Amino acid sequence: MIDVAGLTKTFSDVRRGEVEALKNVSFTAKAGEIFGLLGPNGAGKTTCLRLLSTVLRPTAGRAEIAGFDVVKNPEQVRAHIGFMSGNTGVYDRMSAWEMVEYFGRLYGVEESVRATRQEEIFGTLQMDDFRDILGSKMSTGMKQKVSIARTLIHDPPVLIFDEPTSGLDVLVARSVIDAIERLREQGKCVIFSTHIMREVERLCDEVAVIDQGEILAAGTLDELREQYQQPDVEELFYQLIADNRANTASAKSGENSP
Amino acid sequence: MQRRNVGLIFAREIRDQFRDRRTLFMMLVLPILLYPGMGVGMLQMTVLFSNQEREAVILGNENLPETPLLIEGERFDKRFFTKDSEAAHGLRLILETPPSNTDQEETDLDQRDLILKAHQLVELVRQKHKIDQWEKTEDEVEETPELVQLENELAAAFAAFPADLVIYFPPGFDQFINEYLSSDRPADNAAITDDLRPVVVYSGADESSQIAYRQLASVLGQYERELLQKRGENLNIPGPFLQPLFERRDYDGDRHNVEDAAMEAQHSANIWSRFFPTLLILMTLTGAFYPSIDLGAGEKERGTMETLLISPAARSEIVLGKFFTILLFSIMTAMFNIISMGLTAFYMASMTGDSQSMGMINLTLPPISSFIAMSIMMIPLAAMFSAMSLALATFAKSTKEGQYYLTPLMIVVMGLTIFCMSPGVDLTPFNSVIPVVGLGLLLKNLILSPISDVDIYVYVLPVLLTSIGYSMIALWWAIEQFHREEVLFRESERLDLKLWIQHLLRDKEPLPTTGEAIVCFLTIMLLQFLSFGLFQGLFSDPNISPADAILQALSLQQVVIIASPGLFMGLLITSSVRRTFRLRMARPKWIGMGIVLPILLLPLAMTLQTYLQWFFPELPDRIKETLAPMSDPDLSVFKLLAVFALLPAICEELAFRGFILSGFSRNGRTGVAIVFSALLFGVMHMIPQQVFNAFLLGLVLGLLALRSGSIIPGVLFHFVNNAMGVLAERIPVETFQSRPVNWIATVDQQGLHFSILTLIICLAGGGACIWHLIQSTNDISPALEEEIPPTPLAVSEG
Repeated sequence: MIDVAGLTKTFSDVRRGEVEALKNVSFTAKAGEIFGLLGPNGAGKTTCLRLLSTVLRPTAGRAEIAGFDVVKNPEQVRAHIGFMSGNTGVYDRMSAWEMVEYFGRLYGVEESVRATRQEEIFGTLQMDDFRDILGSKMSTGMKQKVSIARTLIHDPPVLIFDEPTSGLDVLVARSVIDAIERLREQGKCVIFSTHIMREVERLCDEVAVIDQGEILAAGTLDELREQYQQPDVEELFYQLIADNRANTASAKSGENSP
Repeated sequence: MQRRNVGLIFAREIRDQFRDRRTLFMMLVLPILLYPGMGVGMLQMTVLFSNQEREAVILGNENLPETPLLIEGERFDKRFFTKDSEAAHGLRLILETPPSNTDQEETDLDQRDLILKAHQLVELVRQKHKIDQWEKTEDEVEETPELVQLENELAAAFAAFPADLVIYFPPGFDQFINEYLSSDRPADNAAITDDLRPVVVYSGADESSQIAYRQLASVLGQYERELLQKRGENLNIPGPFLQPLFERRDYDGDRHNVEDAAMEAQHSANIWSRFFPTLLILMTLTGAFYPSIDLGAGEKERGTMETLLISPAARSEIVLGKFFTILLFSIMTAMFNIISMGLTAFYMASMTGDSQSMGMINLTLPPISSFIAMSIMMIPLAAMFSAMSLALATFAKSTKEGQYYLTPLMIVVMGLTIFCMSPGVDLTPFNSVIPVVGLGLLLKNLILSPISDVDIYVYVLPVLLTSIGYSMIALWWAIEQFHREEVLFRESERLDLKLWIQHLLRDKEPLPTTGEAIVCFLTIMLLQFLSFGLFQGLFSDPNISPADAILQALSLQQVVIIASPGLFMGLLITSSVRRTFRLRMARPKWIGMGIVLPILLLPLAMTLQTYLQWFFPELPDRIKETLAPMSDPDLSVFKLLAVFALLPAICEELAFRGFILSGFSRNGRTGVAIVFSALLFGVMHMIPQQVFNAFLLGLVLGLLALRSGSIIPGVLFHFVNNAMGVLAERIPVETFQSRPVNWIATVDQQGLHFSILTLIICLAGGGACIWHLIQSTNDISPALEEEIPPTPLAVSEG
């Protein structure tokens, strides 16, 4: 479903010069599986997911989603994914219902199908109380639900969620997690990024730990526990990142000292 | 491209805009409230203004006949006024000889001074009329220094005159009238003689004086009609059939001619022809301005840009959807403004009735057909503004930033609009293709059309086509903006000049960026502007001969202004000077083409230029004068070749085919790069004729530089091209009179004429060369020289 190979993205930044936000990242994720992208803030998670959603174009490397290349067939890729991140907001001057309806139409979902599906989604996500509330009047939780509904309206095989629970209270976060779990049961391929270990433990079939644009480790949680001899996932995650930072720091000082 | 997606986005944006109170206010509420409000204010002002008492000095009132009575007390007799208010508050008369019932002693000093000044004025006018025989039009009178002097004195005297106007009845006027009325011989029908004619002096430039004059003219007209009527009764001829009596030549203290009735319609059309197009253009822009900020920068600010980008709609579909929304709002805003203003004006015109009480303003509206034509013309203009605003607003990070970017656009458009509306600026072939100007002038003429002397319909098509062309370019630019990651995902950064300069110098890239190329061009233009003053000094220096001054100025211009910005920037901020300026040898094929191609193209270019002469405005005399010393046969040809051919060949190539073209072509879009660099190369030449020629030249030079990968063929081409131009001036005319040279070209007053045979050969040869250039591939492609090897597509096993 998702096949990523050697994906690299460089930006030009005034402060730091040329920055490699993503270095040669490769992974695969299959249908009916939840793939977790773990990393601290600024690790390159969002960049990676933006590349998959075709919003950004890779500097090098290749990524295929549902058999479509992100560079050659961006329209097809977008039609086959549901994407949500902290940057995909909800329109202020549109109600919840209108917003989802609008995207359903943009995705070219047949009107009758869209209407029944939208009713269904609004039901399962408990969104019926705020159908007609405008985006500007919604709470964070409501907005997040609208975004999730938007990603599901065209019933895509691949779903990409960038930190879907950030900023949500426990109740809403729980319902979001439940929704993602249901998606796996429906045979969807879900890729989601987070820095919350509990979510990882509960949801992910496979994970990749990412920091400073590089994948540090990848595999199922059990494989990782075994490989690094660390039963506690949080500790494992912390160790990986800390070691990586120490390595790059020493490499840098090595470069600078004669 | 799916029309369905464009439609969906369009529908959503429209609904979004209608839910935004600010947009609705700008588009609907503001025009509906603004103009009636302004109208009420204006009416009040005019009422106040026209109710003011105005003063007229009457000289020689003792020379008026007793009957019919003209003056009653301090005012004209009531029967001359249709409205009581005018009779009561209109002109206050200051009489030279006060009525007998007032005491002469009481006349104060001010009044005596006023009368003295009035006498001086009248004396001046009479002197003037002695010279010009009472002729009123300028072209019939010879402008003698004496006359000009008199006119200046008059204008100065009137400016210092405190009352609004003067009327003088010469001695013997009463006698003439009495005889005229009592005579029963039709032969005495002759009009008044010059010495007996009443003299009126007022100022057309002074509104107050103008209003007073209108009242006076109406009163005197009535008076004259009454006299004619009376005489008619005596002769048994109806009054209107009599020859007019006074044939007054009233004197406007500022202008020679008197306002005459035929000019009235033109006057009112003039007001509208300025007001409507100005308002229409500015409102079209304002109408595009606010929605575009909301749809471009606002989308980013509210965090929904990415939501839209991940929908299946292509970016061009998104841009089109947004573009149509802005277009619609732009047109609607302009329409509402025009309708509201038109209705207000119509209402005001109907309320005030005749134009006189409105002062100078006649509010007769242009015909409805003008309005319909204007509305159609507005669409391409609105399209251009919409696309440009959208592109700029997309570039902006926030709505606040969007307003900063759009303000300069507003100022430029205002400048162009004011230019169009200035008197004397009219549609010419050249003006009609300038953005905004062509349309503005066309709108102006559409309102003036019944009295306009330009045949405007010839211009409708070119103006519309070029405007549509400009909108397409602007739209393409907007779509381009939507394809750029750095534009869509610009993070808000604190501007740190030091860091930024460090970044430029530290993270050098082999080639300049497009932005840097544009900065280089702007620097060149700025330096050129600043150098005008400097060169002016050089030209006026008596120690340097005019020819030397030009040669020096041109050399300085080439080296300092054109070559150095690019060279400095190239050295400082690019890591590969060799690649930036294409400093490498070219293949012999390209070198040969650099020499042969200009020889083939020059006759074509020169012929084209003669055929297009009509299109361009004539060169100002100043430029012709400046260039005149260049054809001085004593000037050394080598000097001329060095300054006109060698220096430009090197300097202009380094700047335009070096730095600027490298900056544009770096993204691999060679076609766009060549056209844009050629465009800038053209603009740099300032004079319209040269701009066009240089643009064509720039296209060929750009193509040659990219294909050969070297600057050398371009330098050769440029040198040969310019050198031939210099030498053509030097070839004696006789050369073209004998064979075989006259097979190539002949010469007459208009210059060189190439024979058909030459042109065919040149067309075939030049065409083949350019076709070959277009078909070839670049000798050195950017990819081949990529310093960073492409990242391998290796798959790391996780």
